Amino acid sequence: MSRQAKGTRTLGGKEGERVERCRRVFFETFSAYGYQPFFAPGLQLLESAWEKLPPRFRKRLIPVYTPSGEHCFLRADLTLAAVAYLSSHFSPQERPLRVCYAGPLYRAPIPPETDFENMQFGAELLGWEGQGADVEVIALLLRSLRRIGIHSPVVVLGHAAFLKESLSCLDRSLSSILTLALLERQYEAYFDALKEAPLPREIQDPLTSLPYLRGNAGRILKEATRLFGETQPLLDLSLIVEELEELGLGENLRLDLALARELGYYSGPVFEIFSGSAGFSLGGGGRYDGLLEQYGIVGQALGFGLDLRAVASLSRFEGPTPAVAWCGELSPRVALERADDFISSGYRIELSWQESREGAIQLARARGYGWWIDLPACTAYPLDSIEREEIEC
Amino acid sequence: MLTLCLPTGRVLDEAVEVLEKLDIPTLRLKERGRSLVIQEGGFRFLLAKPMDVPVYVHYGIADLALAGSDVIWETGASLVELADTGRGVCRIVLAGPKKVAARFLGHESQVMGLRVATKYPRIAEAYFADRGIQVEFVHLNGSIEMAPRLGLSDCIVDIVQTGSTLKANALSVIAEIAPVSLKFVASCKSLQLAWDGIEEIIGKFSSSSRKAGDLDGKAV
Repeated sequence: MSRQAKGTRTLGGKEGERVERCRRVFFETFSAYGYQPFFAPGLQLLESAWEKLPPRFRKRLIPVYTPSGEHCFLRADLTLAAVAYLSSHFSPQERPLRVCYAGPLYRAPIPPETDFENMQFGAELLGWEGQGADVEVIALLLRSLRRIGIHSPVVVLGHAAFLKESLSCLDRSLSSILTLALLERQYEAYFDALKEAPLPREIQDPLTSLPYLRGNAGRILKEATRLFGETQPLLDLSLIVEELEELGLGENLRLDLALARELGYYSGPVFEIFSGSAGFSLGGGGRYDGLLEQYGIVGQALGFGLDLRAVASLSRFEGPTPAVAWCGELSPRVALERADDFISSGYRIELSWQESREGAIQLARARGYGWWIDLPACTAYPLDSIEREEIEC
Repeated sequence: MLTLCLPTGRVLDEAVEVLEKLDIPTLRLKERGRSLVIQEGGFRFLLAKPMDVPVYVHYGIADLALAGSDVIWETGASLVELADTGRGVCRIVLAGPKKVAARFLGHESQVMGLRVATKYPRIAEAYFADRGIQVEFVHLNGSIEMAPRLGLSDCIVDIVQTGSTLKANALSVIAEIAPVSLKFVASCKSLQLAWDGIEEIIGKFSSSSRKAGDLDGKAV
């Protein structure tokens, strides 16, 4: 018996195929808009990343030493690597930089989760100084999800600066308690802390309403403006919502003004992605202009990461029909030529070199295929009605 | 339809009372027999072991749940704590025989290497690690109080309601670790995708808890 390291997973068979097809759709969608594939090293130097990661996140890093004795951790985040790449490889005139990536990330699991290795797809748009980056990234993300058959994904939008500004009138200790409560989604603790603080009503009332400001984007923006005034973060969100609605993506949007994301470097609009059929967030991202500043770069930075395995498990592809093609006594050259004909008529073929016709049919059934092709007879059969229906090539 | 997960065992009756105060139908729940999945009105109820309730919420199987703060902490489930019902009130404590309790009053070197029995290994580990005390844990699933008496452990980390079981086993409270009560929680997904239904219930919770004595807890 071959054991596998606890917390890791082998992806193969249909699951592996779904993951690969989703990865391909994401790359196709984003690279059509100038996002270049990006391959970061599997290890990150601790000294380069430590100060830039929040303490809660640092606890989840998995440290290792390289053969040359450098203290590293297994790649836990691709944003830092992408920003470092931008700062060192591109002059200001060459910006913005658009990158997309897919690969494993390693973080110590938080129970009840057990996997520390997760496949992620992500994209980053770095160094842009004008409008439009948020809309571009969210729109492409939603288009990709639709292309892989997730027809009603929901992007929940919040704003890190809105939260920060809303709490800025409080003393630092109370502000930290409230931020932590929102981050950990302990609303009861949030309300308790707020109730105990001797605050004037004009401050307490809007903050008490904050966790309720979620749902339909138009309604929430109106309510938030009434409570907090027409602030820049609300105007940012309003613009994003308006543009996405114009693109026909309004039904995929919700607002949650109490949304706080784990990584501390977010500084603008943030978002999480949900689907009705998955019990948890499929991923998320947001604006992290402050992180660019740490690398001496001016401008916006925006990125997201998606759990590729979770997304793949929800995917519904309408693509070529998968089939097993039995070669019988055909020579490999003839079998491949005939298989090519079926592939060009919309099939995806796995060749079977078994001697027995029945054996090949049984194998196709065991492997979960819907179609079986008799290449010598040049005929395709749906496996569930193999005796009844025949389709000529 | 909203799916609500409830803990089985002695806390179930209290959970049903909370639901009644929130105008959530409970007739079939009261006459449940051996059913673990019950549907009534616009709700589906799942009955699960208390320790499993947060896990059903974490994975989004249940939209809402009533779960003890002890099991929420122990499982580490990612969920949204909406309100404290004020029910199921007890405490997680470190308890032990008088002799062991006395050691905790001295220098920390006196308590290094103690053996601690608990059904909350995560909570116990966090408690001792925060204090820099290295101990050994024995994970038990019940009747924790008898472990020191039988020599299986030096002390215990467990929940205490009245303290009578501790007393009966010649144990006393050495330290309070955390208060425990029944929390009203939601899954992260449902908070976003089923907010209208959840907001309605929270609204009822708020008005119900404002009526003195109805629900003793703090409402959102």
